[in-house]
Amino acid sequence: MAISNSFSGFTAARLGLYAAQYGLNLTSNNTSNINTHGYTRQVLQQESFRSGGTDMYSSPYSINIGNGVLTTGVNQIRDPYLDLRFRNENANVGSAEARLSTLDSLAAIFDEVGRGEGDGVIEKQLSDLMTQFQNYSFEAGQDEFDTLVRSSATTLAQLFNDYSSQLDDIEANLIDSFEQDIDTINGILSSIRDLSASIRKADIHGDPALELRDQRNLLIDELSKHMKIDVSYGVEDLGEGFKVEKLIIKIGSGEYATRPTLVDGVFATQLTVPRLENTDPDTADALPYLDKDGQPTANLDDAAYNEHYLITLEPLENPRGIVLEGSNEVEIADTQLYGSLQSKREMLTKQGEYSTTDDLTLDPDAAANRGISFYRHALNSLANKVANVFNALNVGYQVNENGFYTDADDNVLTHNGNNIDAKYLAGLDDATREAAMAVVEANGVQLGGLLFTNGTPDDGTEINAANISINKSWSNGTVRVQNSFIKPTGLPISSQDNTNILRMIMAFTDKQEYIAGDVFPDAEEQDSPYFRGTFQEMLSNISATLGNDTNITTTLLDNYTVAAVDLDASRDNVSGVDLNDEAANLMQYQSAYNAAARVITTIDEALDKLINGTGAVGR
Amino acid sequence: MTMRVTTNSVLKSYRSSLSSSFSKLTKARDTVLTQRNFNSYAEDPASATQAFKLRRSFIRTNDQLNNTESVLNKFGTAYQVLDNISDLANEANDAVLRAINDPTGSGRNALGQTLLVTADSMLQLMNSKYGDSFVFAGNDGLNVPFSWQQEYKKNGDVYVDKYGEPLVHTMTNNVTDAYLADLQTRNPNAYQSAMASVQAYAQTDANGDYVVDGDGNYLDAEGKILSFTEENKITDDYIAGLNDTEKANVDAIIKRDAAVIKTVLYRGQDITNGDANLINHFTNESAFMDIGMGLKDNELGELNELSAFNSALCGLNFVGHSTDADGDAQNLISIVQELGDIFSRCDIDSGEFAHDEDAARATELQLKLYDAMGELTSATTDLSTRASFLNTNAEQLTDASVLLNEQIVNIEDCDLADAITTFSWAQYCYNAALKVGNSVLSESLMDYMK
Repeated sequence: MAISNSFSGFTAARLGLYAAQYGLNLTSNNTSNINTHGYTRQVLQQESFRSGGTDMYSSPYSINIGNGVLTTGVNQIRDPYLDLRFRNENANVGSAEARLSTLDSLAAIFDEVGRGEGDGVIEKQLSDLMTQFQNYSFEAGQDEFDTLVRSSATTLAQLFNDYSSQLDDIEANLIDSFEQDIDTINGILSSIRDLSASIRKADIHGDPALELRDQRNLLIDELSKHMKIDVSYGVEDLGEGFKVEKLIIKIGSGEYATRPTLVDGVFATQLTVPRLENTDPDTADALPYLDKDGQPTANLDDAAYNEHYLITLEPLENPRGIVLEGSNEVEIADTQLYGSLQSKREMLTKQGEYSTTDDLTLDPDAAANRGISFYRHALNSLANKVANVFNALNVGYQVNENGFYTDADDNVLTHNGNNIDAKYLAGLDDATREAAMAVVEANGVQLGGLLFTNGTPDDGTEINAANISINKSWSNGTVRVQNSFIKPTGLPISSQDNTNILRMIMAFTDKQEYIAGDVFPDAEEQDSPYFRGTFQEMLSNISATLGNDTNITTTLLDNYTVAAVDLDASRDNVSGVDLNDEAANLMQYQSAYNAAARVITTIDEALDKLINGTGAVGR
Repeated sequence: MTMRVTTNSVLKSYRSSLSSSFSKLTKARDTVLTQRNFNSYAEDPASATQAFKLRRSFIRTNDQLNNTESVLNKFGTAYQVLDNISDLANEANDAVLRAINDPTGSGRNALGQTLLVTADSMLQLMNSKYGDSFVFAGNDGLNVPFSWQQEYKKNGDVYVDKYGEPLVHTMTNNVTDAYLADLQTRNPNAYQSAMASVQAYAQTDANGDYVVDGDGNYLDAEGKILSFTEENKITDDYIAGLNDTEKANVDAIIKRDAAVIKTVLYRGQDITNGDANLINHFTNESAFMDIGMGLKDNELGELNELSAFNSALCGLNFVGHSTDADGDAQNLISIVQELGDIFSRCDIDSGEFAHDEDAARATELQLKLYDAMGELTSATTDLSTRASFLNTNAEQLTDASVLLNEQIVNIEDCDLADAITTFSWAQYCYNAALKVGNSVLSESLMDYMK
């Protein structure tokens, strides 16, 4: 039978006291940090301690008792799967939030529900313009009614200008926000890199650096909102078998094999958005960049971003500026990002039905993705269509009472022996029609004039929402709404013949065709209209498209937010500090402490008996 | 084993739930405050699109109703004018009948004057305006449609009075060789009389030559200047040969005594004997209005005339135009004018017709007047029918407007009872959530430790 060490109980109890003391301290730390954002609850790692080993001569009757408890470390309680799910959901929230923010800004312009006493703004103005034409049809030829039509048209043009200007503001604000996001992300990446360096150093020295990890996790959470990320922990071999943990963050969307790395241990990248470079050989030497109007500039801040706001990742660098071996500059593909940054990119660049061939090459789904550019083009299409339709209706050639084109002396114009009228022209092929129209243009009497211009008097080309204006010639009375092109033979044009005004009224209910290429020459679609409808139906289509996008995004955001909040709560349930837990721990560690102290007292009393009370028979 | 729930996770969930509850309360409050089912396209894109569509129809229907009422008012003005003209024509017809059949004919001349004024009144009435536009001007409402063309009546080249007698200009001149030579050229008959007078009264000298003074004037036996008074029928050639003073005198005679032929013009064209094509064009002119008949055009951009209402009123369709089988004017105003001419030539005392054929012509014209009145009545009836259609159309448009408004209200406006109930429930839920908030941080084991 082995002989037991008389004082080993003291040592074991003392270790128990130490462990309980650590436990109390840890509980104190946890309780103190209950409201610290990002704090992960810590637990004390304890191991049972036993000295000695197996003795080849040991007796089967030997009894080995442990030597107490060792506190081997402090750990964090985290669930990596919940982190992964939360960060994925956070990217969803970021994406939907950023998208919804811009859509809400656009809705402030285009959503006319409840505005203008319920009749809308441009919607109402288009109705008002038709009402003025209706009034003018009864009072044709009266100056004051022409003025009323002009006033209404002026207001309409100003509203188009105003909407376009507001779109400019939204775009400028979004570019600012995009730039800030790039700066923020770069700051986060730098901080993660720096924290990783500190954690690595602590790791080498045996310090788990739990608080630094909490800070890093918070930054990773924040980063996940800006872009979907793939977080993993590898191992860095420092040699001699010594290894430390290494954080690796990659972009979490796109093809897995080609996902670019954002952070690799103590190396991290930075995001840049290349500016438009001046490639014109004549001016390249002098001014290296192009501004948003395509003008050369030397100032980087004035330079426009590349057309698709494509993002480039710089080579991975450590805090000392050393580039990771094998790391190169990487351009992120148009569809590779996901999160708030990508949503802002898309709202800045996606043109929906107005997408260019280049857009569709970069993103095959570009035609269904609509950002500010789509809404600008759509508004331009509407303004352009309104202007062109009324300009076309207000310019024409004199015809007689039978509809035949006539010259200044009321002689009917002929082509190949045929009297020229609309029916004759409609039956001709394009070339012949052109020849017949040349006869009309050369010999006919042109009447009317442009009502709308692009801001330059009597110039009706390239009219859009930003430049649509009332023709100065209409304002000064040189041009008026042409009430008729019919000049009866031998008579002047009847003062109140309203045939042309009726055509203008009908224009409000005619289905127009909206072709992307009409207002955006770079658009891939140059022939087929993407929408057919009246002016007001086109406006409704723009608003309804926006409304549907907003509606869907709102629903998605609600779902994503609920999921993210749930996941965050789940994470908190795992990693957060709970008062009941800590109270129980307090009681547990206090009891353990008391028990260890009691053990010492008991052993002391036992030994006292042995030492002072043994062998004193009869004393 | 139950899932671990931490204090902070409970708080986070509570915050999220409270925010959601408050959001619902806000939305319910907005619904009550705005009384609308939706306040943005995003809330209900389909309903918002439908609501704007209905509002467009509502505005358009009101435009069409305004157009209908404008045309109705114009037609109302036209009807009143035509009613007045009809009254005038009836009175004229009655008076003419009485005058023709009156054995004494004492009032014929006065009637003639009255009829001339009536013709003027009728023409002025046909130039009535609605707003700033002439009602009966077809689609040329900014220009006066009806006017008189006045010409002095002549017999051959000679101006005549209303009785057909030539107008004469009396002129006294000192007799000189030059005067006599001039007179011989332009009025040989007067020259003969002048020479007879000279031979009878002029003083001769011993050689038998006529004695003249220093200015060449012939002298009579008493040494006074010999003068001759000539009477000339007034023609344009005669007038052209006069000095300015005498021209003024002759113009005054013409204005005072010459018979005037008045022709009715429509937009500058003679409506009786003018260009038939133009007359046809005038009577078929149109000024179409959108009154809700489905305004549409064909593929050439030309109006489908069945889809709009023609609001143009051509006066010729009411008072008549062109000539009848006898070659006489069918125009009411022209007929009254000619009757006026005939009766105004009657003897002011005896009432005798100036010419025998005048009586027969008056009887003939009375019948034509009667026919023209019939045409006027017929055209006025047609106008009334069109106005009646407009009235019916206005009623339909009013009904459509009310219906559209109801549809808009049904889509846009919320059911207040439902909205208030929803709001109350949201408020109740929110209050409950707040109350729960007081106990979210429930007591923990910490609170029971001694």
